[in-house]
This record gives sequence, C-alpha cells and structure tokens, in this order.
Amino acid sequence: MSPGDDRRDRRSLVIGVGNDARGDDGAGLAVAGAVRAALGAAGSGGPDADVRELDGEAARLIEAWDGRALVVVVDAATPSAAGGPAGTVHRVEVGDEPLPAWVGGRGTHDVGVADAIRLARVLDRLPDRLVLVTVAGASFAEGDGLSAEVAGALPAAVDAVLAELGPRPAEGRSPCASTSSAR
Amino acid sequence: MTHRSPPSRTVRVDALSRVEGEGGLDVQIEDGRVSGVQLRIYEPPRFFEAFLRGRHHTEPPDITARICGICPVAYQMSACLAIEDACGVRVDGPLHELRRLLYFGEWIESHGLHVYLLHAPDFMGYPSAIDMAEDHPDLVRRGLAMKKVGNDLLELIGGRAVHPVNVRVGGFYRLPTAAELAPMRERLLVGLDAALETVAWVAGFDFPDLEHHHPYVALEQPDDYAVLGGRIRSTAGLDVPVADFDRAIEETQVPWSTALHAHLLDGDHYLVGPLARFALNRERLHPAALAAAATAGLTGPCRNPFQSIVVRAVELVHAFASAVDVIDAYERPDRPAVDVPARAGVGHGATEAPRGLLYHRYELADDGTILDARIVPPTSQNQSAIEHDLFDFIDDRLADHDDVALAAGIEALVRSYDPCISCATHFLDVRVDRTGSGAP
Repeated sequence: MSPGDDRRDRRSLVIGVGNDARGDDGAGLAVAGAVRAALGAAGSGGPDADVRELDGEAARLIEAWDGRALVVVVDAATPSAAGGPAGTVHRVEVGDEPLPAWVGGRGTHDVGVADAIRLARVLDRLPDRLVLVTVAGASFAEGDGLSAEVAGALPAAVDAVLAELGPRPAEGRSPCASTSSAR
Repeated sequence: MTHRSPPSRTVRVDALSRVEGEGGLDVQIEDGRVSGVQLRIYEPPRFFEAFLRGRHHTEPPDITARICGICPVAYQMSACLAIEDACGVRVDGPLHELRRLLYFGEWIESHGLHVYLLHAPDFMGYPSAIDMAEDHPDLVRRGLAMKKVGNDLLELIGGRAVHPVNVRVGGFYRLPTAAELAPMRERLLVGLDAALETVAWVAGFDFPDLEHHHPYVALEQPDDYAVLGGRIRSTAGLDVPVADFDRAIEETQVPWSTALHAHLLDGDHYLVGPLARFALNRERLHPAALAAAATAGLTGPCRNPFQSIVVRAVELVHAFASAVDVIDAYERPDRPAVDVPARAGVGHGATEAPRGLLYHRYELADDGTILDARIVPPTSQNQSAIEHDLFDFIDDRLADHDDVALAAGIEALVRSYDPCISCATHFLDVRVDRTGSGAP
C-alpha cells in the first residue's frame, strides 16, 4: 500500500500544535492563527505558506509534513531550568544534535512531536528543513485561555515563525531566547 | 525467568509509554502475593460537564470534540444523539449513513494508530514503534498509510481530522458530493487489503496466557455491528435502552482516583470496547471482516485481552469494507441537516467509540439552555476490570518474573485496553511495592 496519495506539496507549512482547551497548551494554535492572519494581511507579496492546526499526534504530523520543503512546528513546552521560565521562546532547527529535553515534554500530547521526528527520520519522511518554535507554558490545566506569560510571548513566537518563511519588516520584532540545531 | 528478591522492596516504572494521555498505576505486593492494584486516573473534575452547563443545545458537538484528539467524532456523535433525543428528533437515512462513514474514519485512524504504533511493538519485541520501524519499515509504513486513509476520510466528511468542524446537531453543515467520495472509495479498497494483511500479521503473534470473565457491554442493533445507538447489551444478560443507562450502571467514587468507577447495578465490573463488541455482535460484522476473524481463529468471544489487537484488526477490515458500502449506496440528501428545535427535556445518546461505549446525557431548558450534562467515557468504565486483570496477571507471574519483565508485562497489558487516558488523566506512572517476608 502506498503511503497515501502521491501529491507532494512543496510549499512551506506552519503547524500549530496543541489543545486550546488545556491552558497554555493552546500556545501553538494561537501562534498559528496569528501567522495565518499575518500571511493574509501580507497578501501575494508575502511568503507562500500553508498553516495548519494539529493535536500533535505523531502520525498526523508526519502525514502533514511529508514532502514539504520547509516546515515550522510551533508547540508549547514544559518550563524547565534548561528550557527557561514560562513565556520563553526557543527556535530549534532539527539537524544532527539530540532534541532539547523540553521538546515534546509533558503537555497534553507529550508523545507527539519528538516521537514524530524520530519516526519520520527512520522512515525518511522528514521535510527538507524542519524548525521547531516552542513557547514554555505556565499551566496546562483544563480551561480556555493562555497565561499572561505565554500571551506576552506570542508576538516573539509569531515573528520567529515569520522569519523562517521569508523576509518580514523588522519593526517590533523580539528575538528568541535561543537558536540551535538539534535532531 | 527466575528472580530472588529481598523481603521488602519497591519497583518503580517511571512512565507507561504508548498509552494515549497520562495516568497512574499502583501495585501492592505483600508476602509474595498481590494485595492491591489501583489504576489512578486524575480526571479533570468533570470540567467539560461543568463547562457545558449554560451553553446552548447546539454547542456540545464542538465543545466535547475537544475532550480527546483521538476520538473527537465519538464525542460529537454521542452528543448529537443525546441532544436530538432530548428534542424528540431522530436523524436517519442518508445523514445517518454519512455519520457512520465519518465514524469509520475515526475507527480506522484510532485502530491503525493503536495496532501499529502502540501495541504491535510489544509482541514484536521492540520498546517502541520507532525501534520497530528500524527493522520493519514497511510494516510501519503500512500502518501509517491505513491511518492516513482514515485521517483523510475524517477531513473529507468532517472538514478536518482534529476537532471536525462540519458536524452539527441534526447532521452536517455541508454534504460531500458523490464525485468527491469516489476517489476515497478507491483508497478505502486499498486500505481494505492492508487491513486483511494486518489481521494475518497480528494473528500470528505469541500472546501471554490470560483469560478474564468480566461481563462484556456494548451497543447492539438488529442488523448492524452497532456504532451509532442501539440497545445496551451485556454477555451477562443486560438488555436495556440507552435511556436506562443510569438504571443499569452506576458510578462510584474511589479514593485513589478522581475518575468515577463504573459498575453494573449488581456490583460487577465490566468491560467495553472491541472485545465486547466482538463478543456481542460478531455475526453482524461485514462479511469480509467475519471471514477474516474466522481465518484468524476467532470464531467466538475472545477472553484474552492481549488478543484485542486481533479484534482491532478485524474491526479495521469491518470499517474499510463498510465505508465502501456506504459510499456505494450514497445519495446526496437535499438538506445537510434536519431541524432540531429546542424544547425542555432530557436526552440520552451512546455510540461505540474506538475504545468502547461512550454515553452522554443532557437536560435542556425550553430555550435549549443546557441545565445538566453527563459524559461517561469508555476508559472510566473499564478501570475496574483493568485493575482485576492486572491483579490476576501480576499474581500469576510474581514467582518467576523479575521486576523488569513484570513491568513490561504490566505495560503491555494496560496498552491492550487502549485506554484513552487523555480523556481523564494527566499522567501514567507505574509503581510496584513489594513488602513482607514472603516476597520471592
């Protein structure tokens, strides 16, 4: 059986991962929505990219990014000494180094992103380039709404995503806490 | 494997992986015998039930879809049936069939995920699907390909696979055309072949010995392997309409879990899910699935929970074949939904989620405001039966299994129920405490 249909979309793809009914687990979805709005506002002069929201389940991620040239996954992360306090934004390019511990850490979908990357590598189904943008959350309890720390970090996370997709105006841009390569 | 232990010790398994969501398990061993097993499920304190109160009667399909990323359609469909029941509306004909088609997409996705990525590694001798893929990439590719068909079917009918947006009380917002369904039919046929190969593959696994005798509970319909509605039946003789769920089943609080334990009114624990469906409805499977089951040696009720992987594979065949039949018979209705005007009342709905019977109950005011909501997911219903199985499984193996082997067996057994603990819990952590001079 062939893996799905054969249409390969090479456009860039932004995937927001999370559950907006679980507090800061909705960070990736909020960023994806803001990126979609920014791309829409930029019109034909902006980057040519798709935006999707997923729950982080590994197989769905692989299906979504298979064959793409550039994929940016935005996900909430567990606050930690290594990953920084709530609201910290990280950019990680998937490469040859091990993934930082906070990628795919305990959220409501903690067996998703990291496993998807490892499985896709084994099956040769990673996109040409895969970049993770993570936002450390404060609370993953049930209920709508982002914490103040995460809400305040959204602009930086959105800018980090847009920076991957193509040139954007530098006005008001905040740098990520870190930039690294990992696998 | 023989192992000598000190009189008192604690074995801890830090995480039970490859279970959807999170939860916890405590096992007490005294004087060489199991004295207690508690599955700790930290259910959000009925968050969604409270969240639903005060909302309009059209909102539950969208709200409850968020409870679980793996089975949103199950929550949507049980919600729709319950709301429609409260409003005195019955959705049947082509809209009902389209709901079945959507539901088959979810079964394919969920069972494909569980069989290939979560449970098969236990029997193939690998710690994870990633490790299994290193040696058997084509097997994992086959599982992912089947799962993708289910995912795409969900997107085609539901608008998207995660929290489908095309479902509403009374039907759908938009109906697919026959031309849109035609390519999916061809992919379902390819998936059907893969599902048949899956049955043959998993039927050859070496399954640990374990036989339980819990009553099985599932929905039953006269002419179908029930998915959407029906009567609640059990292998112990229960036979009631869904509206009598409360008269047949009670939920009680246990001190180690914030999730309620479900019992039949006579006090007995019970099991829902594929094994229950198969035991009660086997003869109503699609002929292709019934034949596959027979080839796999399943000609009657299956009482070994480890063999649930074979039953899931059979249900994959049923879902693929039945989805093709639905598409073949599809005639696009004139309207995407029937009207469901609000009225005061109480409604009940139950469907067969991939993991088993999922019950919803809503009480509405005359303007459609939700006064009360109740949701009983399958994993909560199975908790007590899982604990009993773990008790027997561990007790039988204490003498000749070391703690590593024991923990691995515990994990595999819990996975065999495919507990969707994300519906109810935060994390799963297995602890085995051995005390007393009689420890092996």
